[in-house]
Formats: sequence, C-alpha cells, structure tokens
Amino acid sequence: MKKHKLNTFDDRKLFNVIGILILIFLFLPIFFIIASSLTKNSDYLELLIEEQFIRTYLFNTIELILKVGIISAFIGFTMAYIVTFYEFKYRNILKLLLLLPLAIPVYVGAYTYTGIFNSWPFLEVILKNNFTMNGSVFIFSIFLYPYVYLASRSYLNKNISEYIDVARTLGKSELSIFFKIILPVARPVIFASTALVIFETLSDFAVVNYYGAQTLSYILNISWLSLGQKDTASKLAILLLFVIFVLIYSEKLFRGKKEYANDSILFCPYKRRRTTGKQSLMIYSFIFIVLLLGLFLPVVQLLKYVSMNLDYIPKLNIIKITLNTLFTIFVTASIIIIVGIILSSIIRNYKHKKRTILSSLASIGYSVPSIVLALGVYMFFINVDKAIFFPILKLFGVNKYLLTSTRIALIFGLFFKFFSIAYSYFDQTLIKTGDNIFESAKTLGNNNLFTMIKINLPILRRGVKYVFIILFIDLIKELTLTYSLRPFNYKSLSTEVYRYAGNEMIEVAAYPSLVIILLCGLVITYVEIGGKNDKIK
Amino acid sequence: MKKLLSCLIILGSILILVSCNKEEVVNVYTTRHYDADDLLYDKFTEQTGIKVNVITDKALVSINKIKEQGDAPAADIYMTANAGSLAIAKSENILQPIESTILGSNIPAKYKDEDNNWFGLTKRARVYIYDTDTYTMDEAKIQLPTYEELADSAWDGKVVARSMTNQYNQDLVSSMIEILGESAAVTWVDGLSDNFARNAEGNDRSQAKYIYDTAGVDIAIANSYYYGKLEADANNADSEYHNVANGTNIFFPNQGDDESGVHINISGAGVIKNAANKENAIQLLEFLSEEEQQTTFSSTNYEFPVNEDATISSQLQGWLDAQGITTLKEQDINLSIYGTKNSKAVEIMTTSKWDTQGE
Repeated sequence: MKKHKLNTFDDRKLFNVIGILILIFLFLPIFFIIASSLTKNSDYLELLIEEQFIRTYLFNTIELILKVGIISAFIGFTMAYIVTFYEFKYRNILKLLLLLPLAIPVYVGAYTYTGIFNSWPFLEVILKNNFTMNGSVFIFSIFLYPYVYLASRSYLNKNISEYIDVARTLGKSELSIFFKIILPVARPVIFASTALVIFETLSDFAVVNYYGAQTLSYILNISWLSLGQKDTASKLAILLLFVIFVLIYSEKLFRGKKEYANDSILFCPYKRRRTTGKQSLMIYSFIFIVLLLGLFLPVVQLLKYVSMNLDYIPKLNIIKITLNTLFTIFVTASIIIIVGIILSSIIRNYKHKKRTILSSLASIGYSVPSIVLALGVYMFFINVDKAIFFPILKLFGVNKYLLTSTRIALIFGLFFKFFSIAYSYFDQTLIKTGDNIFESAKTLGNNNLFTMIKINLPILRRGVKYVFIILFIDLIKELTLTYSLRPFNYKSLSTEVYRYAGNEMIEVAAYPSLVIILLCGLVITYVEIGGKNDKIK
Repeated sequence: MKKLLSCLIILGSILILVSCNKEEVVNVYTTRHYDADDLLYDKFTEQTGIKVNVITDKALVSINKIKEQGDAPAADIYMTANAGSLAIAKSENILQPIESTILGSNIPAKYKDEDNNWFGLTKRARVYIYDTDTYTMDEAKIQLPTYEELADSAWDGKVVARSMTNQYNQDLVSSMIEILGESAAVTWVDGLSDNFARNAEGNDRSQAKYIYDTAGVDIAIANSYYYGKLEADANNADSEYHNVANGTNIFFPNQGDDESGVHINISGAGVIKNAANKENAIQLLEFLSEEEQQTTFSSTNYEFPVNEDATISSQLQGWLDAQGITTLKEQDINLSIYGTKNSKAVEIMTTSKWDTQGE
C-alpha cells in the first residue's frame, strides 16, 4: 500500500520546482556577470570603440572561428568519412589514433610547437603565416578536429547506410553520393560538433596570447588582467556570447525544419569499400600528415623535453598531483551526471517549444568564455560564503570561507562550465526515445519520480560511460577555471603545466602535460575498444 | 546513487574538519610561481612552525578577489612580481601599514611604499639583450641607444619586444610617462612600436632567440631574470635556447652621467587589511627580507636582492662587471607611479598598436 502511494502521489509540482531551482542555480554566475557589466563604459572601452579597435578585434575573432571551424570540420569530417566508408590496412588502429590529438590541451600544443618549429624551421614557414593568424588557426584546428571526427563518425555509422544503398541502386557516382547525400544528411552533426570546437577556441586565452592573435580574447585579457576592469571584461564576454548566438541561430535558420535523422532505425553496418592503390596512397598520406602534426611531433617533442630534465621528476610530486586532479574530476563528473539525469528528465515533460528554451538555458555556461565565467562563479560563491557560511563557521570559532577556501567552488565552477555536455547528451537520448514509453508509464498512474527511476534511468544509464569519458577529457585539460577558483596549495596537472610553461620552463611542464595526454589517451582507447565489445554483446 | 550521496556528505564533513584544524598559518596570494619561493617557504615553516599556504593568480584578479571578500580576507599577504600591482593594491585600499624595524632596516626606502603598505623583496632590470655578432661590449657601450633613442627611426626594424599584455612592458611605459611627460611618451611609444621588427609574439627569451637567429635585428627588450635563464641553457644542446646566450649579451641601458638610469621593477608584498594572521604575515615578510634569503633569491632565481647586505650572485655580478658598472644607475622615480600611470600606459600602447606594428 505504502509503495503504491510512493509511485502515484502527484509530484509534478515538486519536480517543476526542482527543475526551476537547478536552472536558476545554473544561471546565477551569468547573473553576476551581467550585473557587473551594468556600468558606464570605462575610458579604455571608450577608446576601443572610438578608435574602432573593437571592430577589428571582433572581425579577427570571427575570422579565427570561421577558419578554425572550416578547417577542423574539413579534417574531422573527411577522416570520419574515410574510416566509415573505406576498408584499408591498419584501419582500426588509425581510427583510434585519429582521436588522440584531443588528448593534447591546446595550450600544451602551442608551447610545444615552439620547440618543434625550432627543430623543423620549414614547418614554421608553412604553418605560421597570415592565413593561420600566426599559427593560432593551425593549433586550434589540429588539436580540436577530433570533436567533429568523433561525432561525425558515430553519426555516419548509424544513419547513412540505407540512403547510400538506395543511391547505389540508382547508379549514383561516389562523388555525387558524397555531396548530394552524405554531406547534407550529416550537416547538423557537423555544425553541432564544430560549435564545440568554436566554444573551445573562444574560451582559450593562452594560445592567442602566445601567438599574438588580436582577437576579443586578447582585449578581454588586457581589460581584465592588465587593467582589472571586470565590467569591461563582462561587456566583451557578452559581445562574444552574442557572436556565438548569431552563429548558432543562423545555422538553425539555415537548417530550417530539418532535424537530425532518427537513429532509432535498425542499425545496419555499412559494407566498407576496399580502396584502390591510388586511393590508399591518398588516404594514408592525409592521415599521416594529420597524425604527424596533431600527435607524433608534439608527443616526441614532449618526450624530448622530459629526457632533458630527468632529475626534476622527484621534485614534482606528480603522483600526488595526479590523484588530486582525478579526485576533483570524479566528484565533478558525478555531480554533473546526476544533475544532468534529473534535469533532463524534468525538462522532458515540457512541451517542445518550452523545452527548447529551457534546454538552451541549461547549456549557457559552456558558451561563456572561462575567464569571465570564473569571475562570475567567484562573485557568486564569495557572496554566498559571506552571507551564510562565514557567519556559521564563525560561531564555531573558525574564520574561514567554506566554499571558496575549499575545492567546492572549483567543483561547481567546473559544473557550470561542463554541465551542458552531459545535459545535452541525456536530453537528446530522451528525445530520441520518443514519447510513447513515458506516456504509458503515466497512463499506468506512475508519477515523475517513479518514471525517472524505472524508465529514464535505465535508458540513460548506457550513456553515462560515454558522458563520463567526454567530461574526463574536458576536465583534466581545463585550466582557466581551475587556475582562478582553486583553494590554497591546490595543484592540478593543468595548473602545473601552466605554472612551468608560464615560467618559461616548458621542459618541466612536459611532465604534467604527458600525464594528461597519457590519461586521456587511456580513456579514449578504453572507449574505442570497450565500445566495440558492447556492440559484439 | 545513495553511495555517492553519502560519499559527498563525508567529503563535506572532512572539509569542515580540515578547516577547523588550528595550526599556525600564513596565507599568501602571489603571482610568483617559482620553485625558489617554495623552498624559502619550506625553510620558513621549518624555522617558525608557521605553515605557508599559497595561491598563485594574476595580480589584478587577486586584488578583485580580496575586494570581493570585504572585511574578512582569505589571505594575509598579497605578493606580486611588479611594483605597479602593489601600488594598485594600495590605492584599492586592501593593504595595511606595517611598522617593522626589521623591514625598515633591511629594505631601502626607494623599494618600499612611503606609508609602509608594501615592501620590495627582489629587483629585476628591463634590459637589452643584444647580438654579439653585431656589437662587441665596447661597441655596445658607445653605439647601443638609450631607451629614449630606441624610438628613433635609426632603429627601425632592429628591435623586438613581447606583447603589451606583459606587465613589465606596461611598467616600462609608465616610467617613461613619468620621465618624459605624457605627450612625449606617446611619441616615444609610437616610435618604438614602429621600430619593432615583428608583431609581438612569444615570451622574453624567444625575443632573445629571435635576434640571435635573425640578421639585422639587434636588440631584444627583456627582463634581466630571463638572461639568467638563457645562460643556464646556453650549453644544453637539446634546448631550443642552445647557444643563444653564447651569441648574445646583456646590456643595462641609460648608464651615462646625463642619462636616466635603467628601468627597475620589484617583486614585493604587503599585508592585507584585516588579515587574520597578521603577525605571521609580518614574520614571513621579515624573513624574506633577511640577508640570507635575499642572497638565495639572487643565486637561485637570477634576481637582484633589495637588501644591501645580501651578496649579489657571481653570475649577476658578472653582468655588471662586463659592462664596467660599479653602481647600477636606476631610474630615479617613485615606483608607485607604475600603478598610477598603468591605465594611461595601456591606453597609449593600445593606440600605438604596440603588438601589431612590426613589419
């Protein structure tokens, strides 16, 4: 009887309230950013506007993200196309290796390439020029294309075979199949994954600074780090957000009502074509160049640095730092996944239009440049600390901030940033599942809680591993939020990289860099190989 | 799920327990991220039993955090590697005056705040690194320009410097505003930016490497500290800076009788207003100002001590000797102006397109 009550009492209101509270919580740092931007323009901002610098930096930023977007989409999608539709020797190992540049943080890539250019000056001529905006475009594209590769590959695998079979039957050529079928069908996933590349690009401040690219991040840096004007920084961040939304919105407009193809159709693997000799040569050369630039050269260079400074190993405490980093990652990822499951389950109950709006609210943190997000998160938590926890702890005779003096602020900072990764994955999964199963549960008189535990959870559980891996890679590489929000004496792999690289000790920074790359490489390999086993099962 | 929840609760309790632990501490916000500092903190803890907790962050970010914290700052000491930020910290009213006879006698007046809000701990000079293929030291002493002359068109395409985002470049410009006056400083920055051989990129050492590699580009503006690091890598065949120090030399500009002296910056620190561990903080600053620690700064971190009793390392002394300098002539200005002129300096550098005027 009791159990019956538990699964039927009307908890709709309660769930709505929880949903709204989570959304408000997610929005609070943004609120602080917006609040701090409501000031009269500083003299410096006025100067930037008057002398039209803002326009220049804005155009440079657009140039950067368009170039990075197009190149990484080209590399990522072409690679996905090749490994999906062609059969060639070593395909399986190359398929995995092509993911690994994602394991190299872009700032490590930038520092490392200084050494590579030193050993191979002709590469500098090819890769550092006006077109690549002094190398920045190259660095972002070569280390971020795997986002597009990964998403396109899994999409092509699942969605496209039946279209192609039909086209083949109709006698279409390979080229026309590629341009008339594959590309248009895959467009939404290319755009969505390229958007991830663009967010990462816009969030970076180390690479553009190092290569002297004159983007909005550069001027945001000056106004915040050189002048301490948080209002100017917030305004510039809002301008950046605006650019991002225009890009995303114009894509949506362009796409019109076309939605993702429904991949709940039967999975029937595409039979790959054997390559001809000429095709093989082209494929191998292309893959070789990408892997050489995105993986082999940087890793060899880092190993070279490490071998130069073997005596530094005991001084670095690398195991302690790695464990500390992993602890934060596990706690953060767990919180993100739990809240992601709850919120996506709640928002699923809303009608389509409302759901879209609520979903974009839930994803906003990812598109705010980290340097400004860190500021918003800090202002939020220090105010909560001052208003609530500091007075409470003081009663116990402790003069300390609970949130900002421990890693709690950091964990939630990372939560704000990366929540949308888990959320959008779970949200998409629930959308693809369709409404029937949830309606049935409701018709049977089950309430939201029961439905969530008995239906949503099993559906979403399979995705948890995938979401965790993506979060792991993002969290272990994350630098800006970690640097700004960490408590006293806190060292992570990324802050150690930054500390030594910033101190012009790239040889020492190579150690934590390699640990990051190794751990990311391991989880990526695990998913690739583990994923295959799942399929076999 | 339940397991995770209980884990979180346990974690929370541990955090609270840890925060209740009452050991003697001093909390430091610093921009300095050197191993040398960590070793000195360890030594301090060994001697006094006071644990040093550190967060490294950007100078102005830390100031903003301290301001947000209000009456109960999380840190006791604010430490930076440039005088401008110290002056800004004082003007933002986050530091407090400290009366200490030890600090008073260890640190000369010109390297500390007039109201004892902050104290210099080490010095660096903004120097030239020049190509020894082009100049011998004797030629350099006659032919290398003063800071002022560096903006002359004679040096067009012969100079490199890192980005204007670098605090040391901003402080150099602030000092020139003070020495030349604002309008002459604008002309100076315009001229200098025009003379840059390339658009700004890389750090100080890569400027030195650039002049070493590139014929016709003779002068890199850099921090003396980095020349120490270049020398450390000079004979390391694996380093990208291999031989750079062997083909270049360090030069302290503006040493002539009627010249304004070399541009100096300091690393320094102040005690934060309402600091919970004020006495410990003072003790740490006093410790760092003592002769022994000052000598360590010089020998392990290529910095000049501010304490006149400390020994300058033989490496740094060698630089001065090579140029025949017995007493280094420094710009005769109040270091606080790096803070008060900072916004103006950034405005001037932005307008003159410091970072993008190279050809």
